[in-house]
Amino acid sequence: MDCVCVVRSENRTRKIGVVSGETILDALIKNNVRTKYSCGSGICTLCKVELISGEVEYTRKKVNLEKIKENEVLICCAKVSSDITIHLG
Amino acid sequence: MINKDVFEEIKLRAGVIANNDVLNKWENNPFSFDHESYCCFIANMNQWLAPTAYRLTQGLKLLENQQSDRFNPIVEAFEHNILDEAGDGDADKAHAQLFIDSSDIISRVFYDDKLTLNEDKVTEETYHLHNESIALFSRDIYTMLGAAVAQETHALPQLEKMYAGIYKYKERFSGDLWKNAAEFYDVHLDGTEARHAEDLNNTIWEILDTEDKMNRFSQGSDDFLQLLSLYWKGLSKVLN
Ligand code: FES
Repeated sequence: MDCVCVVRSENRTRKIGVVSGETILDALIKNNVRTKYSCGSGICTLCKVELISGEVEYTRKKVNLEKIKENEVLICCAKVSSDITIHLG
Repeated sequence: MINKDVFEEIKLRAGVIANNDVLNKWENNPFSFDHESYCCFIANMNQWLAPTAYRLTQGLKLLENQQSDRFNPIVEAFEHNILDEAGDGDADKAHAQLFIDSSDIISRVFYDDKLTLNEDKVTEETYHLHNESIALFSRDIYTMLGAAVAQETHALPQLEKMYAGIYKYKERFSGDLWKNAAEFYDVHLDGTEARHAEDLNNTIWEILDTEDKMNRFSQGSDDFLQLLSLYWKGLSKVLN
């Protein structure tokens, strides 16, 4: 299912489409939304963002979740299960 | 040409591309940059370097889709490289973070001002490299491997030149500042970066066993080197 991701940052809000199966980071890159990331594999946690609403699902089994808060998501290996809203730090 | 010669040729061409006027200017005299041009330089470098591991992860996804044990050594080489880039799971030690931290210390020590990364200073060529390099790593295994060899062989001479620029002025960094500024370079120049390229050289050739695969491999390395060449030219234009 394709979903909508509302991306909030300090000074603007954008809406982008997330195609079924792709990660939130893939969708941001495709839409030229700049955000911090490195490994793309759920290891470094640099890509963590605040998940304000919506459901996500991780695409990898080993994801470094101990290093992030409950309301945060590692967008490099998370796909959406519903429309979501995130806040880029 | 035998495979090792193909690798050496890509390495040679990558070295020539890293021997560009931006890096040479930095290597010879970082004070020929003022604070504004330094921040522009780093903003562009960051846009290119930060997704290094992400590119490899795209490549790893292609490799993992193969149902053959022949790819296992390459998968291991990619996993190892990604883990290094990701700081072994420590966000503060992820290479993308170390680069920013190091660049900020250099900014404060050399120019007495903090690093500011302004997206407006990122050139079209840099964005093109960012997007197209990810596309090359996502296309097909053989193109991706060519791009990976180009990425890894260009990394070493590029980082050596960046490090040489700061090393000359090492004494300006007081206390722990030198250790912290050099950390990003130390973790690459201790043999790690050379090993990343060598790991590819030691694992990829067995699967490049037809002319078509070899052609796609060459296309991947050619395209990646071309993107890098354009990147440096774009940066040279805005910095000179
Ligand atoms: S980019 Fe490293 S965990 Fe997402």
